[in-house]
Amino acid sequence: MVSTNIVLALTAVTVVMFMLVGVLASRGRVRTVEDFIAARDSLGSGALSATVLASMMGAWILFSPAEAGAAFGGLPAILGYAIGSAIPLVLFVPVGRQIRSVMAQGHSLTEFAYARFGSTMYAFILVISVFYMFIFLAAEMTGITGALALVAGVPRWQTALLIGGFVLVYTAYGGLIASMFTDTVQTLVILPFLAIGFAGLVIVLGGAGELHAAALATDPTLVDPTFRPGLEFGVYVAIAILGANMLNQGLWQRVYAADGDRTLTRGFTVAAVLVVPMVLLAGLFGVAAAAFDLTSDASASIALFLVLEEVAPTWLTLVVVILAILLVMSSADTMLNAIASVATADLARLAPATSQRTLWMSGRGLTIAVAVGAIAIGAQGYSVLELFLTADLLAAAVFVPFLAGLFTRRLSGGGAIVASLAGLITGVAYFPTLRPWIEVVPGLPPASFLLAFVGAAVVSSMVTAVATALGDAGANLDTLDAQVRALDEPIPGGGRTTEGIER
Amino acid sequence: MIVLAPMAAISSALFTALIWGSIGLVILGLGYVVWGLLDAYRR
Repeated sequence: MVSTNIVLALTAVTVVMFMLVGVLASRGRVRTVEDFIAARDSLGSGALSATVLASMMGAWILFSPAEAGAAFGGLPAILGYAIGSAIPLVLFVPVGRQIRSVMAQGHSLTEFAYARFGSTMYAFILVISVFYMFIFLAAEMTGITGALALVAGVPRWQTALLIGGFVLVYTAYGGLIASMFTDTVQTLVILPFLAIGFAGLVIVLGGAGELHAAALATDPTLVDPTFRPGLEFGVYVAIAILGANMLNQGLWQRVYAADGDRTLTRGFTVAAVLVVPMVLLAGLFGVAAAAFDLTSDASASIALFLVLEEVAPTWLTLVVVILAILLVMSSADTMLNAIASVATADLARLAPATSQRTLWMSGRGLTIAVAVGAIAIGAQGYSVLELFLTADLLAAAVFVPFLAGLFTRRLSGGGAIVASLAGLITGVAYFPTLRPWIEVVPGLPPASFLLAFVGAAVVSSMVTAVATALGDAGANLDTLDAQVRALDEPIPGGGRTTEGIER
Repeated sequence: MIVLAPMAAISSALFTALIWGSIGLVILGLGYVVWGLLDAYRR
């Protein structure tokens, strides 16, 4: 085990450094509520790829893909996970271009939901999106506190407070500008550390050939790309990731941050291409852990760290520790600002008389409240896997009718809600996690994650298609933008200009 | 076993290519991000 003090010191240095980067990068640049939550048309394709990658790739990539590799079906499960993680980013290219076209001045996905479908669908999207993002944040804190406790015996509350606290400082101060700038710098560290860390691990394990031979000897299905349970896992996890990420406000913010459609296309495509090897490599260490008999089903989620503890020299463990901290920081700041931005944009619409300063203070207050909640949960070490899966299922049932509203005028709010509910009912009927709650219902089909996620997405898609074909809501996509309240007035007594004059 | 041995060798070669190809792709991606940032800075 690595020394607790060394890991604590390393964590402290890393978080303080990035807090300073975030604060200095945003100093004097947050002059309006718009700056705090939107940063419109501000990024080129390199920075966009970096921030999209950093936002989406949390410390979960060190846990879940390895768990899939070790316990849920080896290579095909990991391949499904890797490709599934890239699909939403690819889909954001046409969807993002359409978002920028029909709602050029928008800020959030809930603004679109309200303007396009009305209040019921808006409430649906708001609850699912915020629930998913908060669970993502809490899972990140839980993951990193567990990882540092395992490799160095760092008490969970210390890790949660250090990382959560310093991320909160720069995110509450500099909003989206600070989040995106730190994301870019973090990606410049994450990518080489990932390459060094994983190449080092392959070498200390005896090379890729040795790893393959060990897997074949222990359990040939680990490296069999046609292994059916692995393929099934790959399919449902891809749908789960797709639905959840299409309702990820952090990615919607980055769609608006691109400085044009061409940048959006290149930035999201490059991020999609990079996600695949990142998830794949992380997952292969789950296969390694299983091949060398280091895991049981109960410990599969920490497979990568078990490999580290077993074979890695201290320097390699420290590389992975820094990697894990940066992965958490880069996605935590995104989620904090994303949740605050949804609430701020909605408050601006629901209470038009609210001043810019009140909105700005609300945004900061919400950032603090959400961070405190995530730190508290992370310090406890609860398992949030079931909540994560539930949030994924809700998103899988809703994202198709929601996004269809961007492309067709015919789909009504009622049609979108019926499609979402039909998908949700189908998904819940098969969903193993909720089975104890609905067991009293007669005639339930056998529980299956695959059928739950496929059912939710396919049924909601089919009902959306029928509702679009039969209905003619006549929604005017050209007037959606008019329903957005501008948030670009200077905040009195708020941000400073670069000249240091109070605005 | 005579038939399976070449299969195992091919599978091992593909597995090796998957690992080192992924690491290579990560490094290429880093190159793209750095190039994109420098390009934006120059403009």
